[in-house]
Amino acid sequence: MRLETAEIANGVRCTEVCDSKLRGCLLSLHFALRRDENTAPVHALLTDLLTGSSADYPAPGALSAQLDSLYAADFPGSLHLCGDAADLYFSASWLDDAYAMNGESVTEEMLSLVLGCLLRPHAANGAFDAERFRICRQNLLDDIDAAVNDKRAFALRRATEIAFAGEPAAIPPQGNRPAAEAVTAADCFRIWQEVLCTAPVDLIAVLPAEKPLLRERLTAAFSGIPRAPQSVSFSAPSPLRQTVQTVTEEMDMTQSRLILTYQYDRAGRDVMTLLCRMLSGTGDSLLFANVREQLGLCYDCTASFSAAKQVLMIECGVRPGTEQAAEAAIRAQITALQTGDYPPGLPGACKLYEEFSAAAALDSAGGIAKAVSASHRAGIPYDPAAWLGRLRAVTDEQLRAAANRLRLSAVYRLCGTEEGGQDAE
Amino acid sequence: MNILTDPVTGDRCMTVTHKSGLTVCIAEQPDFHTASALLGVRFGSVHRQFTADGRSVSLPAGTAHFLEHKLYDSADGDAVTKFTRLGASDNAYTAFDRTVYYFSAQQRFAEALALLLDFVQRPYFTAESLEKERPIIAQEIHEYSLDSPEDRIFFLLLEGLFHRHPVRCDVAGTLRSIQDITPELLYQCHRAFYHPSNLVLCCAGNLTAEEVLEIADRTVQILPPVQTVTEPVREPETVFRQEVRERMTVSKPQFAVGFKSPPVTGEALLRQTLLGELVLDYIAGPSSPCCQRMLSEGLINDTFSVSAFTGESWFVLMAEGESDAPEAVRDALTAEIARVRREGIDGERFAALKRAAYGDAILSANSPAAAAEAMTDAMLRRLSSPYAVTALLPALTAAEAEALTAERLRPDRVCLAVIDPC
Repeated sequence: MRLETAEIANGVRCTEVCDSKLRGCLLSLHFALRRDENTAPVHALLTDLLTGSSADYPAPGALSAQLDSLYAADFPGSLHLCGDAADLYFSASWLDDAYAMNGESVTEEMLSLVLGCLLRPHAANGAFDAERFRICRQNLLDDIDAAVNDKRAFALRRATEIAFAGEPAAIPPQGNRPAAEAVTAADCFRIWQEVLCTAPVDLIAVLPAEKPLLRERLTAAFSGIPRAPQSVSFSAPSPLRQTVQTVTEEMDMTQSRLILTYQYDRAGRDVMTLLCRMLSGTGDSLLFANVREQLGLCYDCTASFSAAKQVLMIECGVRPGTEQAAEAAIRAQITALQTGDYPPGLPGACKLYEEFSAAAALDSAGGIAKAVSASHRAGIPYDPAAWLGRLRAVTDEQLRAAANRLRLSAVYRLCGTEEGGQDAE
Repeated sequence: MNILTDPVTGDRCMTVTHKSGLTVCIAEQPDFHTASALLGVRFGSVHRQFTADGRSVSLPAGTAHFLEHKLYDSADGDAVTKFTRLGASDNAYTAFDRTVYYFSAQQRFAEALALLLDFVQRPYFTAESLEKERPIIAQEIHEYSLDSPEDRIFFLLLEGLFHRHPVRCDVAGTLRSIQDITPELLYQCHRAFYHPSNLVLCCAGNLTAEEVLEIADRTVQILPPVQTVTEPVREPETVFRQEVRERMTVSKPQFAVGFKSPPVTGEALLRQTLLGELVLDYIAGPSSPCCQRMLSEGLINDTFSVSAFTGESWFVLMAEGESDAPEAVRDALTAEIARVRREGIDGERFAALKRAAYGDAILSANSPAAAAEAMTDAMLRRLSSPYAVTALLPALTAAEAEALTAERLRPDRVCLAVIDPC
């Protein structure tokens, strides 16, 4: 694997990774954005507006048809919230030219398609195409309303709103409905033009072999934009809460969801990665071994952390009426981490698991691109060997110290109202 | 030993029938950092009635899934913990026609493979451990079957399409059916279905065939043959109900439209499934005029999708999504099918969709885990090769697609399932 990074235009970093075992190419284009109530729905709309049509493919379905004919090439847009900022990214993937049935250059066609979508969108007179905008906004409004459908995602969203109240991180990825209803096609076009000029841009290409054409095309495209990048920080720790926010809500569902949010400070990403893994994700993990297997309180109980916000969240689904017992059991696992009352081999097993995870990331184009962009968002160059070295060096004392700096800041309970009498066959 | 080669990518794997009867399929991929192993069993949620060694057995819904959960137990601790200590990432799933246990590892692959083969062959079921497992599985049923509209709409459609086929029951069973599962029943199923001749082991990645076969020799038991006969499913060709509805907390109606048609087996199933997927994409995929028209009219939104759901004893082509007017979506789909039946399939669009399927097939197996999964699927289905898709695709014709449209998308074999908001 060969990795090379260069700045190809003002505030535009391009990282190329070549690995001959890959059969496909992947180009992800990341735009770092500040966000607020009004811009959040615009950012969400851009993921759809810029990937469904373009000036080159204005007719409904034409872009999809072209992607079909390019051997199931793909070009979705997504938003990843990190800290108080957003990473708006577009991920183009396509079959390497070596496998094209008629010897055509899929790479050349895809670069034209991608750059056409981003730089020559389906727009006129300073606004995105009205019909396309109408459909995309309706999709967005439906998506906002559909938050209630996925109970687990709904609970996580409410817990996030409560834990980060008053901070941009509390705004849901799609924004809120009133702001989304107020957005116009002209707003979206204007903000996209601003993004192109001001957002720090991180381009990551993962390829089976060097493709000079890719660097040439990207450099030409971004050099043609009058760039004046503004800095965007993905790190935005929440102010320490003095009291625990406890919110209980009800929904017509058969299971209850429980989410505990802990704040922390002065713990590195390496220490928190291991601490989190000691809680969930392996057979020895405390939440799995004790809350699920020992006490039988839930099927799923997982921990995750955000270094950008310096919080650790634990979530699980439990039988209505057992929320208190589950909360007590989860808190007991945190206490176990703080006192060192866990199997002695647990940290070592978690280190071994993280070594596997780092290796597995190198076995797919998507895994490589994801790992590179995560490193860049954290402000460090992608270096798996250095990362593993830091993980191996973490001591039990560091883990206990970090666990002792966890402070419960919010508890969210979404209580089911029925036990569910399902018995049909 | 048989060496199989992908005609397009040049990928190779070897298949061996082990002396125990176990089918072994291995792809050496030295350029990768990890290796994956999957052990698949031809025992899933639809296998509810069988005769083993002359004894007839009926199973409560969810038995295969329950067995999968409990197989990780042993007298000296659970296998999940042992995998963790080897730095391996393990899991398992139960589907309608199979149960698959798998792991991926970087450093101690050989030890993890020995563990996989060992725990799957050594059941250890106790009444106490089953009692502990019931509430855990009950929560899984709540989370994925009862509170998830996405899962619920799928099973609601199957309940509407099928009269009595066990495919209409949730893989995990019901809160009631899991109460009837006993250690004796699980032992009985293990004896009947977990004989090595009913298992396939597929390994891919940074490994050698020699080490895999050596571990298989060391750990796979040679057992006397077992005569297990699964009762054939007697399912009418008609749909059970043309429309089924229920209510949940959802933002707008969730729907699924399914077309039921007679099942096929073996290579024919693969060919018909591929064709079915192509026809669905042609009729209502993202690049189709029908899909774009429904989007423009606000009948559907971007949750709309089409898929083929097929197995050895069922064949369903379906569309699902959200809509304020599910009946109008069903009508639009049936009208488009009628038009395609009248006017035929456009060769150029069909060729573009075939190119997309070709690209998908090549890209989708480009990692040890994905390659091992593709090999497992092919071996469990008793296909001649895991590379059958890339070999088959060029031979599929528009005329065959037209025939499938006429035979498998019949207007009298359609069911509409809807979950309305409370």
